[in-house]
Amino acid sequence: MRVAVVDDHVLLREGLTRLLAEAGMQVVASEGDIDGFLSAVSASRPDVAVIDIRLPPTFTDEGLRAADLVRERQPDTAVLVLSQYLDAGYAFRLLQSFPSGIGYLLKDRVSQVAVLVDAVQRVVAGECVVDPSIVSRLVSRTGLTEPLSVLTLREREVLGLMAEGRTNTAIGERLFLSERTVEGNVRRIFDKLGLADTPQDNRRVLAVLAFLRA
Amino acid sequence: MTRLLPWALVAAVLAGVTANVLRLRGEVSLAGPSVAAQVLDVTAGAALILAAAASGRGKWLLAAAGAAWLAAEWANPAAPGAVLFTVGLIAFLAPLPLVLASRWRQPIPDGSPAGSPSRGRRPLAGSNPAGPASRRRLLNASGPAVLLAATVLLATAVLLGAAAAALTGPLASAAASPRDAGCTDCPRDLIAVAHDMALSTGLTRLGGLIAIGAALSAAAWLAVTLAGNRAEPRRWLASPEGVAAVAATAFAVAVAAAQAATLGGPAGSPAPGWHAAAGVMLLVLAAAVTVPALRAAHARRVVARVAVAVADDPRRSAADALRSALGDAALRVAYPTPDGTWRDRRGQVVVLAGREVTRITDSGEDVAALIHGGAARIDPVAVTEAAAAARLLLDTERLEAGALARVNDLSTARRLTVEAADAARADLERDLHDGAQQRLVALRYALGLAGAHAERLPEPGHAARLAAADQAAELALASLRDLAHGISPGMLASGGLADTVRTMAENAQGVVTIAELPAERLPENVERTVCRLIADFLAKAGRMPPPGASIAVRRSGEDVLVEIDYERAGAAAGNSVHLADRVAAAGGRLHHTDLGGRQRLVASLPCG
Repeated sequence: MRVAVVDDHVLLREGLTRLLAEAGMQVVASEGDIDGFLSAVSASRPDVAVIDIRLPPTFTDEGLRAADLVRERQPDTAVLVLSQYLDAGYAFRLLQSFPSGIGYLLKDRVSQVAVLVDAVQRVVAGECVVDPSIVSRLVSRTGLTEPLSVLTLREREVLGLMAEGRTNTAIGERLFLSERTVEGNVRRIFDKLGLADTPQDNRRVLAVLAFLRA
Repeated sequence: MTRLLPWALVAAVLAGVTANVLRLRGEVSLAGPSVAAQVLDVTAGAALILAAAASGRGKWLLAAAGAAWLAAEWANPAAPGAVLFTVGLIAFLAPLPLVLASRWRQPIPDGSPAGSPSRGRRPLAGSNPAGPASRRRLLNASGPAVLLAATVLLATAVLLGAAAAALTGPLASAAASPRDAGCTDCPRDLIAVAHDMALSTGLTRLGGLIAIGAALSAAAWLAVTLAGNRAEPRRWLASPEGVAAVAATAFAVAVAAAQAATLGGPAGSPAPGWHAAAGVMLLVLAAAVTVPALRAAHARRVVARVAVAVADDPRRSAADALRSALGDAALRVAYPTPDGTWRDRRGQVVVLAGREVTRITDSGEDVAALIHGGAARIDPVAVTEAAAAARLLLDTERLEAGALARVNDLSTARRLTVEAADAARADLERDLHDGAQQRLVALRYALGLAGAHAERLPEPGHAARLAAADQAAELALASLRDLAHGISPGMLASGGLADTVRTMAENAQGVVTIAELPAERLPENVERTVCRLIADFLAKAGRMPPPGASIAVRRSGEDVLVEIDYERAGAAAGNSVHLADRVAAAGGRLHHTDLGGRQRLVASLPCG
C-alpha cells in the first residue's frame, strides 16, 4: 500500500509516517503544503492520500479542496481527510462531492494502528469512512427525539455503523450478526424512518447522514 | 414698507424742488452746469433721506443732512420764493455737522442691527472666526483710551462743522443778502439784517477755514478709530460701520476742500468737482447705513422661516429648520458635550476644525456650532437670529446629544470589549490548536506506535499501561476540542453560517434542534456575530444547553433574527447579560420573553 501524507506540522507528519510504516505501508510522499503535495501525488500516484484539513495559507478548508482535487484528477487514489475537530458539515461535504473512496476521521483516531489500517483499507476499497465520534454525536442528539426513538437499540447501532460507512458485512462482523439479519435490520430502519429504499452502496451513507443532520 | 412712505414723500418733494431749481438755473448751482453732476446731487440727497428712514440710529440727523443737502441748492435765483431761498442760504454747510454727528458713538460694538429683531429674547452671540462677524473682538480691541480719544475728536469735528455751517449759512446771510452781492434776480434774503458784503464774505471765509478744521478733526477721528481696531482694521473697514465712517469723513474732507477752493475767489463761488465728490460720499454713506437695516430685515425673514419650520413639524431637527431658513442645504449643527467634544444630535463626534463654523454662545457658554455648507454668503446677523429663534430646539438637541454621546461611547466600549474578548479567545484557540492540541495528537501517535510495539512484547502489562496513557491523552484532546465548540476555526469562512451552526448544534452536549437557517450567505460580520451568539448560548455553565433548546436564524427585512427557545426559566439569566452585550455590540437588540414556561431569546441584528 502506497501512501502520501500532507500536514504542516513536522511532528505530526513524522508521527503519522511512522505509524503508517508500522502498519506496513509505504509512505511515498510526505509534504507540508498543498502545492508540493499535489505534485508529489500526481507524480507518485499513491493508493491513498492522507490530508490534514487545516493547511496553509488560510488554515480554513485547504485540505478539503486538496481532497476534492485528488479525487477528481486521480480516481484511483483514495483520500483520508484528518481533522482536529468534529465537523459533521465537512464530512458531509466531502461525501457529497465524491461518495466513494473517501474518509473523514479525527486526527488522533488513527493513532491506533488497527484503526488506521482499517480506514486505509476501506477507502482504498472504495468505501466511505466517517469518524465514529461524529456519528455517535449525531445519533445521540437525534436519538432522544422523535424519529429515532422508534428504533430499537440494535437498530440504532446498525444505523450508526451505516453512517460510519460500514458495509452490511462489516456491520455483521461488528455486531456478531449474520449478513441477512443486518439486511433485515437495515430494511426495518428505512421503513421506520420513512427513507426511500436505498441501494447497497455509499449513497446509503449520505442518506443516513442527511437524515441524522436534518 | 409703508413705514418708509412718508419719508419717500418728503424726499420726493424736496428732490423735486431741487431738481426744478437745477433745471432752471443749473449753471449757477452748487452742482454746476453738468447734468450728470446735477442728477448725482439730487440723487445723493434723496438717497440719504431714504437710507435714514431705513436705518435706525442717527436716523434724524441723516435725514436732516439729506434735506439740507437738497435745500442748499435753493439758494439760487430760480428758487420758488423767498422762504425756500432763505432756507437754502441757511442750509449751505448744514450737512457737514449733521453727517458727522450721525456717526456719533462710533464704533458701535454690537452684533445686532439697530432696531434689533431679538428684542424680547435673550441675545445670543454668533462668532465666525473666518467670517465677518467677529464683533466681539472688534469691541475688545478698542481700549477705553482710544474710545475717549475718538469721542473727543468726533465731538470736535461736529462742533467745528456746526460752527462752519453757522458762519457760512445763517450768519453770512444775515450780514448781507445775495442781492448785495449783485444777484439782482435772486429772491429776497429774509434773514438779512445788514448789507455788509465784506462782513458776509469774511464770515464765509472763516466758516470755510473752520470747515477745514472739522474735516481734519474727522480724519483724525477716523484714524484713531481705525487704529483702535488693531485686531482687524481691514475687517472693520469692510463692515457697514467702517464704510459709513470713511464715507462721512470723506464727505467732510470734500466739503472742506470745496470751501478751500473758493477761499481765493469770491465767496460762495462754486467748486462743482468737490461738490460732486461730496455727493458721491453721501451715496456711499446712504448705502452703508442701509445694509444693517437690510440685514435686519433678512434676519427677521429668516427668524420667521425658522419659526414656521419648527411649528410645521415639531419633530424636525434644528439643523433641518435652520437649513431651510438660511438657505444652506448642507448646514449641520454640532453641540458641545460635557466631555469636551462636539457631537451631532445623534451623539456622533463632529470635527469643527477646518470648517466654516459659527459658534452660538450664550453668556460665554457654547450653545451650538453651525457648520456652514458654503462659505459663500454667511450673514452673521441672520445666523445668530435664526439660532436664537431655534434656541429651544438647540437646547433640547444639545442635551440629547450629550446623553447620546454617552450612550454611543458606552456602546463603543461594549463593542470593543466584546471584540477584544473574541480576539483573545480566537488567539487562545489558535494557540491551543497549533500548540497543545498538535502536541497531544503527536503524543497519541507516539503512544499508538509504542502500543503497537508493546503488543509484540511477551508481557501484556505494557500494552495495557500504554493504552491507559493513551486514553488520558484522548480525553485531554476531547476537552480541548470542546473549548472551541468542536468547530474548526475556519469553518464559518469556508462552510458558511448554516453548516457552522448546524455543526455547533450537533457537537453540543444536549439536544439542540435547528428550526431554521438561512440558505443564503449573510455579511461576514453578521454571520460571525450569529455564530458567537449561538456559541455563547451553547457554552453555558456546565457546557450543557438548557433542555429543549431550539435555534432558528432567519432574515426579517433588513434584520437577521436569531431565535433561541428553551425550557427552564432562568437558565439563561446569568448568560443573557453577556448575550445582550454581544448583540448590542453588533448594533442589535436582545429580547427575552417568557412563553409560559418556555423561554425565548430573540436577537435582532442589523444586516444592511
